[in-house]
Amino acid sequence: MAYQTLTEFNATGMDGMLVYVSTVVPIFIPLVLFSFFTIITLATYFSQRRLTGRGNFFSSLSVAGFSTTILAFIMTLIPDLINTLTLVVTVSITIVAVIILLLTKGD
Amino acid sequence: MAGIKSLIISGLLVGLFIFAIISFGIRLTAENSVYNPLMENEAFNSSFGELETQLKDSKTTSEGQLTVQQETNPTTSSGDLLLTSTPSTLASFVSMFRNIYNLTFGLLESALGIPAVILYVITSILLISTILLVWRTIKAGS
Repeated sequence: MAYQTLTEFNATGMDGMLVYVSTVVPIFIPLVLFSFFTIITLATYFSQRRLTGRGNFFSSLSVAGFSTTILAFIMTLIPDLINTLTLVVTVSITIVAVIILLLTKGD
Repeated sequence: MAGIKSLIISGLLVGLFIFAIISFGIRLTAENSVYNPLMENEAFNSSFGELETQLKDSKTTSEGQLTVQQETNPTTSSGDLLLTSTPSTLASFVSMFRNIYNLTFGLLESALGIPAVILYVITSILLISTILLVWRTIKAGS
């Protein structure tokens, strides 16, 4: 089946382009969020290691979880951009990361 | 794993963080008049409300536990004091941990359609670990 073109989708503005891509490729938004989560996790972890000599992986996971959840909530402002399943998984990952961080002994 | 004191404080902080981030999402969507998929979930909605109530009542609960500890007869043996007071303090905060669990696993169950038997097994493992942790803490007297 051929992809629906942007003209057929009748999108206007930047948000319309994002909604078009997420409609045609449903895994696009989960992949964007996963990439964002991974980049933030690794960036904060290795920056901690470079600055202090050691890093706390669970704190990096929590920071990345919070950032990704905020991004996911902002995406809910555009109708049809993000689905409920993606939002629920993002929030759950953040909650689990915070629980692990606060229930394990820090450095 | 931390002791009872750290466990309760961490539990309160986890509840506060979850409350903060979900409140942000709810207010963001409410003030911009857009659809919020999370609030449509009945289990999530009720668990979130109960978590808010529990956090609001945490000061009263803590004060009640302090009164119980102060009124405990100091002439009883030290082991008896430990065995009766520690589970009593923990029991006051159990509902908060239960709401955090409901928020996380209840949401995942309804969204991902995970079979109930898998969640029951995970819950059983968590419960057994918690029981052993509480028992170890009481035995150590921390």
